[in-house]
Amino acid sequence: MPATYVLLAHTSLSTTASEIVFNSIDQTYTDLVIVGNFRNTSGNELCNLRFNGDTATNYSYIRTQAVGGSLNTIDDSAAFNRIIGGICSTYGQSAVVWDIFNYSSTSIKKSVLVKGGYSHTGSGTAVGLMVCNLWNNTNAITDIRVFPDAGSFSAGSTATMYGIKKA
Amino acid sequence: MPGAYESIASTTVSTPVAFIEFTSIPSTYRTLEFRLVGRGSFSGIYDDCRITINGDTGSNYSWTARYNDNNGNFTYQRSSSDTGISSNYWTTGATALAGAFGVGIIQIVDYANTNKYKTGRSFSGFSQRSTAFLEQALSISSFNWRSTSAITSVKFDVSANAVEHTTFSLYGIKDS
Repeated sequence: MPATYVLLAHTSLSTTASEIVFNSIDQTYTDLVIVGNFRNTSGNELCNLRFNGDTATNYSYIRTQAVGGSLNTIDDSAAFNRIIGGICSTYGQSAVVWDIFNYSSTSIKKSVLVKGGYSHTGSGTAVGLMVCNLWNNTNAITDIRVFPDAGSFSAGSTATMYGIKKA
Repeated sequence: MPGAYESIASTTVSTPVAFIEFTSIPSTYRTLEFRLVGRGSFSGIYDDCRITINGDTGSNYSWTARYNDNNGNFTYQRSSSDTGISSNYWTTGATALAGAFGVGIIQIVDYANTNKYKTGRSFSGFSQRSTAFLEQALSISSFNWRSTSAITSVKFDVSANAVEHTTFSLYGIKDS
């Protein structure tokens, strides 16, 4: 069987940056997986994706989230302007995995499953969350922007994109 | 994961089918991973996709699921003795947003081991750009098949029929 979990791109920040961008994405895979390890310059912020530069309210999500020691949030949005799911915090390094299904298809809308969070022993509140998102668009995804709600990614933050190809 | 993750088989539906089954699964991996993108022709927003292993329809399965919807509810469901696996993956249906499919990732660890029962886990959901009640869902689930047989086939029964563009793919993960 052919190996098919292929590194497509990796960014490791040497200085603070407001975003990480993957563009001209290879269209020959079935799914994309983006693995992030982030730290933010201030506060606890959502870490997001946008596809193909679309900043309109063409996204939806459903999320469950634990903050600190309790189940904090079960919420959704029917008209949001980005894919959510990650956390980036000034208090600790976060981890997030976005699974983007059938990203190169022009026949179906794009769904994204996300698991993310961070934990630490110092100040600030630990967070763990799961999300299912939809981009209400059948276009193939060619560009992805990764960015926090506020602040910037600190130096040392990384984002890695893999392609998975079905048989 | 790169280098240890291999494509085994995939089915993309072009004409509606009642089920998708992976057969003759090789036993050379540690873990199986199914990546599912599905939609059915049933009248409804979403429905359960029932799973059976090696053709076993006896009461040899248990499963548990925790899921939430966009009304702020979250629910646990479980069965300790079932004839298949439920609530681990949902497809969208004919009245869901056009072009929106249910997505899921299911992993079965040590599927080829003949000394223990088989355990799997799933993460699945669907989202659609709508404000109607119960129109989005998210689930994390697990299941057990009480058999020491190596898994050689897995069948997914889609409520009504799986429609065009439904894509179920199977991957194998090696130790290294």
